[in-house]
Amino acid sequence: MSSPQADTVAVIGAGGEIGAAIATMLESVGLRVVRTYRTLPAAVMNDEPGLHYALDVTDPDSIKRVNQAIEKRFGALFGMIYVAGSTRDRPIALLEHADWKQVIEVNLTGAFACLQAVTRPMMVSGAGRIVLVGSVSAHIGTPGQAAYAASKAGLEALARVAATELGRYGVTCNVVAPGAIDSGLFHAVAEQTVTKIVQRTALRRLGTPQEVAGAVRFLLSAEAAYITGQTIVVDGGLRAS
Amino acid sequence: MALLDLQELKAIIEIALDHEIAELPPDIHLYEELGLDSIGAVAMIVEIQRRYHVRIDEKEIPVLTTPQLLVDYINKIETVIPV
Repeated sequence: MSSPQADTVAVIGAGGEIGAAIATMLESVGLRVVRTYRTLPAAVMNDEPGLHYALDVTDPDSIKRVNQAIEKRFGALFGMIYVAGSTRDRPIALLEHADWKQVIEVNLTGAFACLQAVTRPMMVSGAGRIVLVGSVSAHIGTPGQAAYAASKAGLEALARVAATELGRYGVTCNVVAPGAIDSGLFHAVAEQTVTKIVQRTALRRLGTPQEVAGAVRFLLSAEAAYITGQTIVVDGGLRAS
Repeated sequence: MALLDLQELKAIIEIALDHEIAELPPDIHLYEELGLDSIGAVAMIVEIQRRYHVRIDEKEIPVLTTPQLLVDYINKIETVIPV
């Protein structure tokens, strides 16, 4: 449990395994963590009030409502971690425009809207850390991932621009880009495909959600105060191999 | 109620412009004559919010084009943001 004076951070998309691992790790270092989910899990109903919200990242009104509720209760956020993500992998020839738009809407437009919502109080307070969870897919052309890869590459560009606009206010913005992580998304992938991917990593294994969370924790630490506009790739050497 | 005057606003605008200015006539156009750009405008409203705890709606920025309009607007805002 965080102290009443603890800095507050919001994890947008805490329902997935990576989001949950990030939230847990940030709590473990004493931060007050507010979690948002697409659908509020029943298990959190009895938790401390104000720490859990249902949030539709594609709905600006939902973002505004939740942001105002968090700000009213805890004041300006110290950190915002955007983990919400969606994928509709299809070859470009078969990718429906609706699928493209949905992935861009959740992964990129939602990140922009959340970033825009939280930055003003951070700028006024003179401190803030924003971390957008991207993907190594932004750096590697993988068949079927046009929308997903484009959305995640967009996050990196967004982070660089935000870094330049927000730096003068003491606010940093970075991306953590996971590679092949042993989480929900990967459980649906055929074993043969997983084996192939693992063989492409330098470390010869999948990563864990906790290893992604560790990079996020670092970016929120005092030691990372001078890092902004960067991407930390957590891929076991997939890109290097 | 905030009590912003032109002298204080001059200091704020210097922060937004990132350089000193000799004077701040009340009717000078902030954007067309003084050279404030959109990034500077954001810096200005953030600095005003820091000092006076009042929030300027982003939609008002394009119409608050002179120091006097800005001072009058700020001093009419009654909602003080808790800090």
